[in-house]
Amino acid sequence: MSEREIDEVRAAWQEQPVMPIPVARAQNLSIAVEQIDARARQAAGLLTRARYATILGLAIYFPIAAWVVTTLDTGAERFGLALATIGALSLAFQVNVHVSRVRADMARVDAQPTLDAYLALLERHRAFFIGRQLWLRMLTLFPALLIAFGIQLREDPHDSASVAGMGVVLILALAMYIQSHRQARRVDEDIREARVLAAEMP
Amino acid sequence: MTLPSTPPRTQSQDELYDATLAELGGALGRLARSYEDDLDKRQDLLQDIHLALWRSFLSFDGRCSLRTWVYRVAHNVAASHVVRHRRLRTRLVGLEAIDMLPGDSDTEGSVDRQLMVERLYTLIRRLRPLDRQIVFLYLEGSDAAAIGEITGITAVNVATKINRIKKLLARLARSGGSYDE
Repeated sequence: MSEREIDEVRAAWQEQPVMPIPVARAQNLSIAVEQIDARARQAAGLLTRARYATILGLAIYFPIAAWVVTTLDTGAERFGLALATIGALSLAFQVNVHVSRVRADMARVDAQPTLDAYLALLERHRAFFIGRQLWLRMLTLFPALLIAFGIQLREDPHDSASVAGMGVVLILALAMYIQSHRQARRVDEDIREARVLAAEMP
Repeated sequence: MTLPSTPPRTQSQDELYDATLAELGGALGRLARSYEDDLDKRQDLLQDIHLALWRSFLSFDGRCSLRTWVYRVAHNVAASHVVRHRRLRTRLVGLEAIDMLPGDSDTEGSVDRQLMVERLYTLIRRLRPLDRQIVFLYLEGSDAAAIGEITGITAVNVATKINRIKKLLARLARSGGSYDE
């Protein structure tokens, strides 16, 4: 191995034409705002898809629930199913209301794209994922399902389907909790970034 | 303008950025190209690197040299870019596996400096981020101590990897017609 050969490669490397720098410092702030804007819009798009997914979920759920209710023997079982239905409707309602509010926020951002407007939007996103709204979602959806399976299990302690159902419900609850907090952390990062930018803005 | 090794705390974000641009502007362009082949995505990456650097200077406290700081931030941004954009079937390899890379045995025809550089980029982009960082720093003229400081790996490891890099570069130089002596 010759040092000269290596030096030639290193020289060829270092003598490459300089790639133009795509941004000047003066543009950095506006670019950062653009990035936040892009992320905010991406989040809004995800929520819209979440709304469609919820509507689709309900469209599948209701015929199945309508069929299941005809197969139930006891009032207790019907009560459990009713609770689960209320939970599903509550979830759909929350998603729908949140999407409507986010759309209104986006309209405000479009009219006046200020960092304050982005911050309001991001904070609304965060509020959706954690705290009162998350617990409202979880408490209206999962306990109802657990009660529904619990009632079945009480009537037939050897019903393995009910045990499995309860397990699935608990896993889903845990997954929703973890995923919501993960999303909230992402939004938190954007909020921190937006606040830093707000402080840097002339 | 040269990069101060331990700038006083009073140096502003703008001054640090200006010094970085003057001293390492070209290297950052080459770094971006080492991580991204596509021109549009490369410009986005370079933009992200500059943005991250400019913001990072707010918290630069001079405990390491500015050069080390700049390379660490830039590599972190670029490595994140690779993770985000890596195609599912693209498998990154280590320096020890570089012999297996396609095109390495192709010695037909003459390869001018530009082609050699292109080929070097192709090889670098196949490496895992840490090895990619080491090869890049070596090509940029950093010594083993500086590479160790930037990457956080031991001097022994750096020496081993530099030895492999030298063999790779020598082979690359020999495979280029205009470089045959």
